[in-house]
Amino acid sequence: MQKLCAMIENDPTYEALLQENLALRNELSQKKTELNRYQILTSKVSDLIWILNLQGQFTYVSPSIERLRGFTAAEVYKQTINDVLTPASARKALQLLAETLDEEAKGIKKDVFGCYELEQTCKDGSTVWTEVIISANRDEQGNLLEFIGVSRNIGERIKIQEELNKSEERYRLISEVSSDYVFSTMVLSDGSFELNWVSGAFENITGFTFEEYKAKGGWHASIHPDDLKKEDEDLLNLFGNRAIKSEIRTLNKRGEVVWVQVFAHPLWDSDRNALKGIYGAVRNITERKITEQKLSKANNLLQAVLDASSDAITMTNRKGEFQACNKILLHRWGKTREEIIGFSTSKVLPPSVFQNRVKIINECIEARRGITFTDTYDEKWFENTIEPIVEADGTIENVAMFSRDITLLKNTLDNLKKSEEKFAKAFRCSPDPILITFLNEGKIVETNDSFIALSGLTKDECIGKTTIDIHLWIISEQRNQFTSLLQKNGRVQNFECDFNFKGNVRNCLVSAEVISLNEEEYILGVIHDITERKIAELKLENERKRLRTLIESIPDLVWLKDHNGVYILCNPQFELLFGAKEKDIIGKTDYDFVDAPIADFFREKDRKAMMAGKPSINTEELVFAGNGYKGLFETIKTPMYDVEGHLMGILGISRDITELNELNQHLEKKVEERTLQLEDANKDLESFAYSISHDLRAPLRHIDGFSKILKDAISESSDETNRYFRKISDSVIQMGRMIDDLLKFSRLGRKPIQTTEVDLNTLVKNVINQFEPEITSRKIEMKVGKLPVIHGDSGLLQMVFENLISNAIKFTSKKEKAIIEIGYYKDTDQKNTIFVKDNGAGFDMAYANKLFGVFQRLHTQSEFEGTGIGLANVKQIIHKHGGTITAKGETNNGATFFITL
Amino acid sequence: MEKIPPILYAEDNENDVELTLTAFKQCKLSNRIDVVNDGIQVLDYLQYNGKYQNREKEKPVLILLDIKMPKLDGIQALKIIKSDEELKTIPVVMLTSSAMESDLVKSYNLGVNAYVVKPVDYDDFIEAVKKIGSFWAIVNKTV
Repeated sequence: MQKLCAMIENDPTYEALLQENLALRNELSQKKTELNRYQILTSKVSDLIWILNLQGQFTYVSPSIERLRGFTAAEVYKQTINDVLTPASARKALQLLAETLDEEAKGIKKDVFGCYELEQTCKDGSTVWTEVIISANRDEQGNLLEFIGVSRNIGERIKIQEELNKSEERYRLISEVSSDYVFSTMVLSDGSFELNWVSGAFENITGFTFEEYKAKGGWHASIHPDDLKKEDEDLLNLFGNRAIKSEIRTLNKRGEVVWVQVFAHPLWDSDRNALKGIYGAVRNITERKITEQKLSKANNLLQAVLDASSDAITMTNRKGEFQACNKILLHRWGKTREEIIGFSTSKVLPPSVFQNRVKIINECIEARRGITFTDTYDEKWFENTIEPIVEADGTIENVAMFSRDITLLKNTLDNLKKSEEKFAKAFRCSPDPILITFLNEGKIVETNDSFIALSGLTKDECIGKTTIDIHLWIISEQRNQFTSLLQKNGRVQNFECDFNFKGNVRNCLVSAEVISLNEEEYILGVIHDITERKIAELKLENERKRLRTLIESIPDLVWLKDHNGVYILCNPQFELLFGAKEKDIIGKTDYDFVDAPIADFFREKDRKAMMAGKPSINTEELVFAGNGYKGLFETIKTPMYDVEGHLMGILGISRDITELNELNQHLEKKVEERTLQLEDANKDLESFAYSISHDLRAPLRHIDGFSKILKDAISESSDETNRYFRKISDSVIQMGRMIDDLLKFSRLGRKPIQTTEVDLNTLVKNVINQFEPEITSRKIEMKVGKLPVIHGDSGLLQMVFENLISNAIKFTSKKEKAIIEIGYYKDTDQKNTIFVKDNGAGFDMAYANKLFGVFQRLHTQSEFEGTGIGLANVKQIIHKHGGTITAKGETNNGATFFITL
Repeated sequence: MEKIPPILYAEDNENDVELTLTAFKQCKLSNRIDVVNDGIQVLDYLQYNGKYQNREKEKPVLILLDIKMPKLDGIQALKIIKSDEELKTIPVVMLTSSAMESDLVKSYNLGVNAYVVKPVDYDDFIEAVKKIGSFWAIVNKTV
């Protein structure tokens, strides 16, 4: 075999044959493989592969038929075209078949007849769209043997296509309205660019068509001259295989600036390590840019506005830390913008204020609404408004706080409020009634307390009514006048009218003005009740009249000059003096009417009175210019002061005392005469009294003397004779005393009283001292109270007390314990009443009137000695002092003498 | 031996004279009492005039004058006495029943040495006279 093989191997024909055989075998194998391949393919491929004979019967269908239509191959072999396809597709297919066969007959030979979309029916009744590619299988002569087809389930694809169509439609629409366009550019070998394709809103953005754009120079040509540098940078990046995203200005067809945002990716040729293309998207951001610019401007504006605000504006977080703020705030806390972020006022505000603010910030955040509040520190007041800042996601982390320094405002408001209160108070409390009424129709809007009080109406009774309704006006004529004045001038000042208040007529002055408040017009009226004033004025007028009548009726001269001697008024009598009428005298001085020396005299007297501040009186001789009458006048000049004590002038009253004077003189002469007579008489009386007492005393002396001598001369004297002699002696002595007393009494009567201030305490003490020996020896109790100081003749008063005290001592002599009391009290008429009281013998009140008589006694000499002249003297002296003396007593129970001065 | 000078006593009323002399007697004064009845006689006595031309030249130790006397009254006499160089040194005592203030004033103004009001009571009178006598005539020293 080996040889054969070797032989075969070396034989060319055998080789050729072998080769041919080999080739055939290869071919067969190949074909087998191919067939196998095909079989695998056809069985595996999802597409349906079928063979249809010219009669329209399927001779082969691939296994995927089941998947496609649900039928098995065996079932399909029995089916016709009408069974396979839907009626519409079957019609189409049969028509195609007919046409193909026609064309075949005409000699037109195709390999692929076409790609058709046919709807096939499925076993379960559904249909499936397929794409069928039909090819011809021909023999070597080219005769059509059979149709070979590939059917693809394009159900999905149709759906997708439809969707794609829709999306394509969408995309078309979108791209039409979209501001973007996508592009791809080629980088040519020479480094230049050629725009490959563009889509979307290319024309919208650039204004050019694709061709025009390319013709103009493409991308580079459309760049805004100012941005060329940027373009260079972008390209540099792209050439460095870096994608770019940049914003750049381009110019469109109309030459308008179009801002675009370019996303460009490099298409990198990694072999050549070079840029081979650029693709990307271009977005028209002009509007956005404009918006951005506007926004930027707006932001700047906003910042400027914020900075310009006098309020401090911040953005603060929950903890009270600043996130952002305006200039005022920076200024307030002395920080820069950089320092302010995160700055917390916790260190600079009083803790309570800071905590309160943080609390409110959190409240605001929680409640998601703004809060306004005021707080104060450093004696400043702030009104703060906090608004939550809602983030895009709805959370709130920060708040905006507007803080306004309202210290001034508050002060102003406080002041305003106070002032308002003041005014309100002034309105309410004004003593004058005030009314506010509407201008139209005059309905009362507001009344103050005085109006209420005066009118006797309540506020409710007034508000809403007119002044006519409340019967304020009495005379309608006055009301008309008032209203017309008000309308003409817009105000009325001190309009006098009568108002009815509580049913009484009151004279009033009204001042009113039209005012406008809140675009409404009102009348503000103030009423001043002048009734009292009017009454007073009337009284004054009457007084004046009365006075005038008085002045004019007085027979005396009456005039009034001011402090410069200028006449203000005078009466008719005075007119006679100057021989001029009052109206001619007023305004002039004395120098205008009399000679200078006389005028000087008058003025001197005026001055004297003014200086003294009280009236000055002088007598002067006046000659009347009017009628030549000459007489003696007594002039009283009285300075007159007004209620404030300022000198008004001099009031002069001159009384004609000529007659009086004469009378006086006459009287005086008479008096002088009488006095002389009286003095003479007195003198005579004095001598007479003296003579009497002196002459009467001598014989007494003799009686006593000689009777004593006689007594001695008698050799034997008995008790009887001695008694007789004693009687003689006693009688003589008694008579002597009586003579003395009488003399004293008469002298007393004639003696004029010399009044000084007499301190009765010392006087009485002196008197008591005189009786000291007896007081001590008898142990008389002297009770002396405080006595007043009175006006009187000390000598005479001494006599009074000597008498009274000596009497008291005398008449208590029979009492074991003598008590004498001296004191004083003020009686009901406030007169001083001095009393001298003793607890001695007293007297029977029935004889009280006899006590003070001359030589009147209520006891005998043997009981108590005395002449009975003492009390007569006392009475006389007291009467001389203008006082009275009375006595009260009880027999054996003392006596009290009351002297009232 | 020293001569005891007299006392001059001027009084018009004889009863008064008697009483006074009786009183003096009780004083037991050694002085002689010369009585005159009016003011003229006083001067005559003192000036050795009229019936007293030949009077022994001696000045009385005391002159007692009553005021109420005829012709020249006591005060007038006093005046003359007190203005007479020779006589004014003689003590003069008014012995009168007048208690009038004016008489007192006049007398003292004229330089009277004492003024005694005659008490009505005789015992008191005697007492007063004794005192006058003993003082003026004995105790008092004269020129």
